[in-house]
Amino acid sequence: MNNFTKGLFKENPVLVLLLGMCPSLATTTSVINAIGMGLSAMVVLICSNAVISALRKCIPSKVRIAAYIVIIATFVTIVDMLLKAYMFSLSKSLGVFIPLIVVNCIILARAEAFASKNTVWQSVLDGAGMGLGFTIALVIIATVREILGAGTWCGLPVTTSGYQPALMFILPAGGFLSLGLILAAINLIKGGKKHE
Amino acid sequence: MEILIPVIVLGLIGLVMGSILAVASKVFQVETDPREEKVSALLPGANCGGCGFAGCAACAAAIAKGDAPVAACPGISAEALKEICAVMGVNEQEKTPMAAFVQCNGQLDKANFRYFFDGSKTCADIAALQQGDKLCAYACLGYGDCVQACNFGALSIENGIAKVHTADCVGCGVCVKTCPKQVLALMPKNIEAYAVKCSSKDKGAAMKEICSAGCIGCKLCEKACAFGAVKVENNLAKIDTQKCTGCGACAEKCPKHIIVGIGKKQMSSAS
Amino acid sequence: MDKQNTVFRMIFTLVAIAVVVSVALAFVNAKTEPVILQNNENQLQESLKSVIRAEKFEILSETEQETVYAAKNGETVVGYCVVNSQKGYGGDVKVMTGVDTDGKVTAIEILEHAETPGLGANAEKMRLNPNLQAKQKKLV
Repeated sequence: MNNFTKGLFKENPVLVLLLGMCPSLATTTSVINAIGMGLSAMVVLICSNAVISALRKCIPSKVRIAAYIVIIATFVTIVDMLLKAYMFSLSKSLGVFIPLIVVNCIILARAEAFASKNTVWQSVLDGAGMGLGFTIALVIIATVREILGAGTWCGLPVTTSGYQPALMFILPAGGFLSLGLILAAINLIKGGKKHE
Repeated sequence: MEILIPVIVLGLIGLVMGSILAVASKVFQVETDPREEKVSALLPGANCGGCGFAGCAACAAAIAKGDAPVAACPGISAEALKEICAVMGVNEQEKTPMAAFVQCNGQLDKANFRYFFDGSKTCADIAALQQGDKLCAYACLGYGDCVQACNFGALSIENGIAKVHTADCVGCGVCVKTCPKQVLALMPKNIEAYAVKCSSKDKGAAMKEICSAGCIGCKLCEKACAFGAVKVENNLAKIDTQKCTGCGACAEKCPKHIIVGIGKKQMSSAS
Repeated sequence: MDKQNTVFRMIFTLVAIAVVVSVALAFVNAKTEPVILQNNENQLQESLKSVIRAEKFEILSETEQETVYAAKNGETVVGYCVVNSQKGYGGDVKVMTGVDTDGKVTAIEILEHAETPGLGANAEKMRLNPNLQAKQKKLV
C-alpha cells in the first residue's frame, strides 16, 4: 500500500522528485486541462508499468530502453486515439501534449526504477500513486494560474469583477513563477533542512 | 489485410533497431566482474563513506578487485558479510558489530559554559574558538555535527549533548571522524562491558567548577576492578573492553555515576 | 543476466514487441477511426453552418492553401465558404470566411490558431466587424 501512497505526497513526482516539468508548465493554464493531462498520463503510467513489469524477466537489459519506449508509445497512441474519438474537445485543448506523454520523464523513470524490478500488482499501485500525485500537482499549479491569471476555476468565474486578471500567470513566465513559488511553499511547510 | 502493413513495418523497424543494438552492445562491451554486482547488492547502499571509498559502488568494485578486504564495509550486517565471503570465495569472517558511544555526559544542567556565542552553531566552528563554549575543553559541544553526518539517523542531541540510538547504529564510524572534539568512539555491541562517559583530563579539584558529571580521577573504580580493566591516566578513567568482564563493580563505586554499561549491559536504548 | 543479452534474444524481443504492439494499435485504430472521422466531419459542418446558414455544403475547389465550399439550399447556391490560413504570431491561423452571392462577407470564424491566450487568442471572441469592406472575390 505504501507503494501507492508514496506517489501522492512524500514522493510526488512533480513537487518532490521534480519530474515531468514540461507538461506541468504547459498544460496548467486551466484546471480542466490539468485534470485531463494528469489522468491521461496516469492511465498510460498504470498500463505501461503493468506490461513492463510483466515482461521484466524477458527483456534483455541492453534493449530495455528501446523496449520500454515502444511499450509506452503504444499506450500513448491508444490514449490519443481514444481521446480524439470520445473526448474531442479535451483532445484539442491538450493538443500536442498528449503525444508528448511518451517522453514524460515520470513514465520512463518509474518503468526503469520500479516496474522493471517489482511485481505487476506493486507496479500498478506505484503507477496509480505516481499518476494520481502527478494529477494533484498539476491541479494545484493550474488552480493558482487559472484563478490569478483568468479569474476562473474550471471555467467558472470565482473572482469579483473588480479583479483584473493578471494575464502573466497564463503565460510561460507565470508558469515558471507559480511552480517555483509552490515548491518554495512546500519546502517551507516541510520545515526545510532538519535541525538537530 | 490492413493489419499486415503496420505489423510488417513495425516488425522491420524492430528488427533493424534490434540488430543495431545487438551489434553495438558487442562492440562497446565493457568487461565487468560479475562478483562486483553481487557484492554491490549486499552492501547497505547508504554511501556513508565509512569504508574510505567513494560510496558503496566504489567499495564493491574494490572488494571484487581485491583492493579492499572483504569486511571493508563497517556498516555491514553479519549475514551480508557471510554472503560476501561466499561470493568472493574466502573463508567466513566474523564481524564484530560496533556501535558509537558518546564519551561525555555534560548535559546543560551539569556542564558550565565559558561563553555564549551568537553566530554559527556548528561543533566544528565552536570548537575552533578556544576549544569550545563549555568550560570543559574535552566536552561534547552538542551542536549536532555528528547528527548531520550520520547516514542512518542513529544520533540526536538531547539536553545539550549527543545521544546514540544503538539500535539504529551500524558502527560505520563516520560520526567518530566528524566529531571535532573526538568525543565519540566505537564500542563492540556484543559484549558485556562498561565504559566511562567522560573525556576530561582536568584535575579533580577543578572539575567542581567545570562540570558536575566529570571524571575527577579519584581512582575508586581502578581499585574496585578485580580484573585490571580500569586504569586512571591523566585524571581520566579508561576501561579496556577486552579485559572488562561486565561485573559492574566500578560503576557502583564511581561517586559521579559516570561509568555506564555498554553492549549487552546497556541500560537504556541510547548511550 | 548476461545470458539474456545474446544477439538473438535482443532482436527477437524487439521484433516480438513490435509485432504485438502493431496488432494492438491496428485494432484500436480500427475501432476509433470512424468515430474520429465523424468527429472531424461534425466539427467542419458546425463551423460551416455558423458562417453561412444553409442546408448542405459542397467542395468547389481544394488546393493546399485554400478550400472553397459552395453553400446550397437545395440546388440554389446561397453563398460560399473559404477556408485558408495565414501566418499568425504563434503559427498559422486557419480562418473560415463566409461570403454571400453578392460578394459580401457574412461571417468569419477562426478554426485553428496558436496564439497567446489573453492576447492574440482574444480574436476568437471577435465576430464580424460590420465596417469590414468586402473585396470582390473571383471564384473559380
